Amino acid sequence: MNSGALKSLTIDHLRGAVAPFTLTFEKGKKLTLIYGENGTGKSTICDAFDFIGNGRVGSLDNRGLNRTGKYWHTVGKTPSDTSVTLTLSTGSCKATLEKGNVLVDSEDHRPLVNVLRRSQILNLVEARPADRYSAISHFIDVAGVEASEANLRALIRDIESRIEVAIARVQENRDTIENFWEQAGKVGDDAIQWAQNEVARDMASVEATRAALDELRETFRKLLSYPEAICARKKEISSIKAAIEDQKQHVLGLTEKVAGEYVEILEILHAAQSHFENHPDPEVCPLCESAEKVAGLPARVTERIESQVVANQLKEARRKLTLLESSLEQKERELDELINTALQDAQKFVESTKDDALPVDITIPDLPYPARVDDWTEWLANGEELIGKWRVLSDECADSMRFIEALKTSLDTLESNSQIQQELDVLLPRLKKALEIVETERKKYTDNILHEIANDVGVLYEKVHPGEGLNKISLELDPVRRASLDISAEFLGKGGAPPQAYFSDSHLDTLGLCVFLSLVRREKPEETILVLDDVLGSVDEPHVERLIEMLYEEANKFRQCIITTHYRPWKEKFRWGWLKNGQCQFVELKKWTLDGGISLTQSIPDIERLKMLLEETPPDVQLVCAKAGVVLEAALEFLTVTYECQVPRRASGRYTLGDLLPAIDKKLRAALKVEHKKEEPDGTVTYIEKVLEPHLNELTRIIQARNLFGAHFNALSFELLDDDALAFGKEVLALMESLVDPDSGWPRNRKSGSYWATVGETRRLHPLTKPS
Amino acid sequence: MSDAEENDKTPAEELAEIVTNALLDEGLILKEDAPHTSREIASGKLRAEDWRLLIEKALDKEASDE
Repeated sequence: MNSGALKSLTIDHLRGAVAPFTLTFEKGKKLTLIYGENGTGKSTICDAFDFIGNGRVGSLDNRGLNRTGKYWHTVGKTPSDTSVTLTLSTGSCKATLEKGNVLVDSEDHRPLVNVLRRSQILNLVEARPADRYSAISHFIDVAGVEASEANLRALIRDIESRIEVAIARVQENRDTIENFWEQAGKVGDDAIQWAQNEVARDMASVEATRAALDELRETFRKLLSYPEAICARKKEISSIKAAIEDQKQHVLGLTEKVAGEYVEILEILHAAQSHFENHPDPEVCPLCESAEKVAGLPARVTERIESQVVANQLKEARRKLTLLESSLEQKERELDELINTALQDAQKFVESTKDDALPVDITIPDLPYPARVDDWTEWLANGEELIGKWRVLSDECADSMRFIEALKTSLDTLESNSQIQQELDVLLPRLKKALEIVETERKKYTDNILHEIANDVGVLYEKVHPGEGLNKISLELDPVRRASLDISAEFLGKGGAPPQAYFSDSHLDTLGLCVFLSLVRREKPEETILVLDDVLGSVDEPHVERLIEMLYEEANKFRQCIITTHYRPWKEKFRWGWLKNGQCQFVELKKWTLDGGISLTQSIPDIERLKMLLEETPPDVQLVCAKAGVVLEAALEFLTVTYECQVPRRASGRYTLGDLLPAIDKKLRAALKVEHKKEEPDGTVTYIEKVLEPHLNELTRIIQARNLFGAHFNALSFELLDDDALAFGKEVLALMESLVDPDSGWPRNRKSGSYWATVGETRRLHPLTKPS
Repeated sequence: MSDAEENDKTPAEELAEIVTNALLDEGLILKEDAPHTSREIASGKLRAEDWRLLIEKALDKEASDE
């Protein structure tokens, strides 16, 4: 955690720091009050914190300057001359300006800084609801949860839709089954039970019947074509046989025309022709080897061959006859095969008729079938009719199967959707319960935070404006518009009143400050440096002191609190110890100069100053008596007002020591005592009693010293010793040390009902009222 | 978890933890699913199917215990 104590802040050439300026923080003081007239550099100090903590200079915002970076460095210097160094008990952090960006040398030591300026005080109060939401959204930003919640809501819608679909499907399938049931004649009492029984039936037997019928049909259908085919084959064979006989007659006729030797010579001539193709110019006859008539022999052989036409016709006729005889053999073989196949198929048909799956009452042709296929025609006469009947039976089986399948599908769909519906019916209420939890907790969470913030604002506000009835602040998310935050208060008993409409400027300023403080202190206040720049500006006098007291209290919650002000009474009350000034470091700024820039002046409480005057060597008796007189006047004023003592009534309302001191009569003097709180290391608290009477009596005796030494030039003082003057000063100091706590101030609080006390009851002044 | 980590929780993380504990108390989710459920609720990554699975798991467990 970055929470080391602040030791000093050094500003170099940022805004009004024309010369290096160092603000040293007093150890143990969590509140630093910076007092200065306008133009002394208060805002520059705030800017320095803003610069190092947030990388910005907020005092220049909203002044119509657009990009303000070029005005951050001191006039006459460059951005690179600008730096802010924060020294801590644990280290240091230096911020510089480079190319318009603020760079820090140690992120570990970079402080969290939250700055509220006078000009921003009404931002949250007067902002649009959306901007107001934006300012505090990070306290209530639960967008991730909202996204998960939206997913759950979408799931519920989806489940509801699925349930509707399942219900519709269930009804739809019930109706379908009812229809089936009605079509089936409403067997039994209940459609679903009937459907379940139907589906449970053995569909394998139906399937087997259908298969047996189909097989019967197919085997029988094959037989139908055989008689015709065989008949055709036989006719063909007869035709070939007739052709063979004709051809034989033709060959016989030609043979008679051609002599047998002629045929032999023709063969010799063909052999000679073949020889002459290789020997076209023979010298001798190749048959008789005679050279006689050898000339032109090949040509003459060719001529003789060509002249043998009848012989050729005979040869062709014989060839055709051979072909016909071969064809007849082939056709006869085929006929035999066809008959065999027919008989085999007939046997298959016989086998198919024996299938047990066939309906008992089925019509089949007479068996055994005729042994000769030629006799089948009559046997197969009503074949097509039988096949048609068997197809009808097969189709009925198929229809039955399809019906059961459809019924089964309807039943399955009904059951599955009923199951889906049942499951979703169990799931849905749980999902809705989960959504209710998420919605409720989210709303409660954000409402709680807003309520806490609003309550904090109210508590702070009540401290400043007690009893005015304006503390009932309310912050509410707009239920219609997303990311929109409304602020309201109770005004004259009217709730929901927008403060902007009813509150005075001063009240609005206080409210703005309270809203800011309540938000800032929710966010790691122990690590945060809170900077309030001149925020008391428009708060009216009666409320300023309470506001200051409230700020003192709040400052303790932060790592460090810096408050700047030009409110002079604060300075004076500090001087006189009327504030709990011991808790804070009071810093007064001198007038800013072009050469020196920002500088400090010493501002010391008057009681402390009296003590210092007494400790000087040699002491200045005139100054001691003058300061002691003023301090004594303050003490006596306090006592006479507190105990409502009688003093002479004057138009000016101004009283002298001579008026005030006797006003504290003997009874009151005797009763006046102050208890000093003493806290032991183990936490034990004891009170040590101090009586004021001796001091008051002694002061009554030597009161003249003030007038002789401290008020005017008086020759009588020549006759007195310095010790008499110093004795007066010391007695006043002793009285003040008895009465006032340097840390907690004067005992002004009477809440105890029996004494006056400082905050924390470090001093308890008795009695509560003047003895009668 | 240290105090520092506790304090560093985002509002969404804080709320998700509250929601998860409430879901657990109602028996809507299983204890072993709580840590990742809390993270996923906070980050907005708990999808519709994740919600369903979470609730169904708790339902199944309840049924098996009976």
